[in-house]
Amino acid sequence: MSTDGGRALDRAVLGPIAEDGTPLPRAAADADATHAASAGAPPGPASGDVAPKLQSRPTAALVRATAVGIAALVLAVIIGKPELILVGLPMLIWAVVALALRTARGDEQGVPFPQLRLNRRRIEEDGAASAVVTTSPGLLTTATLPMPPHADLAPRFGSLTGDGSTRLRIGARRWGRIDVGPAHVLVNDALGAYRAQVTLPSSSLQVVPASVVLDAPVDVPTPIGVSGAHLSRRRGDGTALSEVRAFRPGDRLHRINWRVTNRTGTMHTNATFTEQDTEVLIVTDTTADVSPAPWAGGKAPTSLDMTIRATTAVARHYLTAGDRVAVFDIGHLIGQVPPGSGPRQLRVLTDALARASRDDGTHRPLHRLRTVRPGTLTVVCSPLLRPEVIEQIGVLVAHGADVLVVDTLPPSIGDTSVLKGRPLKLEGRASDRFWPEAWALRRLQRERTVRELREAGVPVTVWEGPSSLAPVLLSLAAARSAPRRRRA
Amino acid sequence: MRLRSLIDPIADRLLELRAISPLQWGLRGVGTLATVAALVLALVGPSTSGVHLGIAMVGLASLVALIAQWFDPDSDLGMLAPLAVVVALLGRGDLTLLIAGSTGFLLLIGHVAFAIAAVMPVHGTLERSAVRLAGRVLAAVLVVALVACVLVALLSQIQLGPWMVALAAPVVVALWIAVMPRAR
Repeated sequence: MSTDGGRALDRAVLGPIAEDGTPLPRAAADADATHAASAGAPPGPASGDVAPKLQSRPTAALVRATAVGIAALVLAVIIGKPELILVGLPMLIWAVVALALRTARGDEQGVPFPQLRLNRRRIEEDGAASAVVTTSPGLLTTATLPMPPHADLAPRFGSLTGDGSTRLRIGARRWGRIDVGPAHVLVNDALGAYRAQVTLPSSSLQVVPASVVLDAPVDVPTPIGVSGAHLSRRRGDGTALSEVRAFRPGDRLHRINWRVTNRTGTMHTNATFTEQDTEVLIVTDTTADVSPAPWAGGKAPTSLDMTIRATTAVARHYLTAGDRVAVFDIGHLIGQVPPGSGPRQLRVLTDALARASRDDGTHRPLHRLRTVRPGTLTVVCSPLLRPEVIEQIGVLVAHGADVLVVDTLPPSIGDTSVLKGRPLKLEGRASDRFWPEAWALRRLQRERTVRELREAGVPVTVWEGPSSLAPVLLSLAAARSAPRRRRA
Repeated sequence: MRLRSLIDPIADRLLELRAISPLQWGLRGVGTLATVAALVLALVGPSTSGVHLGIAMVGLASLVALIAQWFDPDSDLGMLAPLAVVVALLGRGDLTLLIAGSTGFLLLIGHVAFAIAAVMPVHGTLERSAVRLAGRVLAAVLVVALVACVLVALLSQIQLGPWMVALAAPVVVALWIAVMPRAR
């Protein structure tokens, strides 16, 4: 029963043909289909005068109906039993109707070449797109898609038959690039008497990470830009009062404080702090993708998911405040995003994330950030597992950056609450590899690293969604305005 | 451990059955039931009482065909079952128009069910539009077949001479040439 009907059908079909009716090699046909898919071309003639055709062949059903019908007819005539004609006549009529329909439709020269189109090229996490395969009305068109990783198909097993076109829904569960296809397309007449098939190359679907709005203040410890929304410690044009001092040549007249001037008899003016923007550098650790523990549930995010979500949320938060945001990828997954500001930068960043392929398991050396401008607010999103990343944090602190670490190790990893002193049973079976125990030890070891970072003045906060960064950013803002000890 | 190595492959096979769509179960079931019904109609009668070698051969051929079509509805072996039914009806002395017509329509139903099952993969499903299209064309086939059967039943009452064989033979050959698939 496991034998797939469609697999056996492969024997009875031809490859696609060229415009002049000659058979095309599969690569050429694929190239045509790629063009159609990538261009999102509407169904119908591609570029030439004649629409590309796919030659159909008779199925075993047509041969069966014809053979049985003719056999009954011949035997009835030879033996002289007219009743026997009635046994084969319905099947013979079926074959004749199939032939007549084919001739009436003009499908003898081939059926229209199927085209695969995606209704959307970019979707958000948990969003959905549709893959539409189109041939021509009156033809049973079956499209079968392989199950892409981290995505759902509807119908469940990715195979649907429609009249002239069929629409399969792809639901994205994780950010990144999804390859939709290659699509196996079967084109049959309405009776299943003639069939053609072709494999269309895959199309790319970009899944943008869902960016949550951070529930946190936009204050930064050290604004280092020119003009913006953050209150700086530098005196100049602004709105926040710094002090009232004696008027000096060059001061603006509208800032004169007349009340103090009247009282003291000498000219006084209001001095203010300037408002500046800042540069936010997000250091993203894409070197590790640690899956959540099996007991965390199927929808629990991996460490990479958490890293990317944190990166997107922080970037969006500061870009909305008018700051310049750059992304530095320690790994090789999304590449570097140079500093920029505004909605365009958010689009550039989400584009870079959506294009990233999650399945690139090539081992390559890590990128290292050599220098950073002192005072840059640096948010490091990492599961803090690799020593190189810890070293990189140290380098950033040494360069005078205001570093904040977002811990993106899934909380279920190294969870000691499930350990009962005996081998843990997963799906009714006790593992002999002791992974939960090993991760518990690794998490304990990592706790030491986290403690050392905190002792070095680097706040570390666990990513738990939109409100994760609020306490740390508030404490950073508070530290900025706290009275400082005057150095002797 | 040995028991597990025996049970696991069987369990895997059984789990694979879950991937088969209900539509495929239905189509293959209808195809099998209709073919078996046609076979029973062809074999059971006053003139075919008792089990003999002919009935066993016909039954075996049908069984092979149905098993082959359960695994692959597009199998060429599927031809064996309807041919066996035709052969079984050859030996019936009490063949009436009603039995022949009923057998013919049962064979058509079985044939159509397997033909539609072969249109899609084993886990595939049909959209409503596809069901409507197939239903429309099948209804047309049924109507034409019914009209043709009535015509045959009426025309079979007319007594013709042996000269009709000379006329019928070229007609059959012409029909064969028209219907059989041609290589392009």
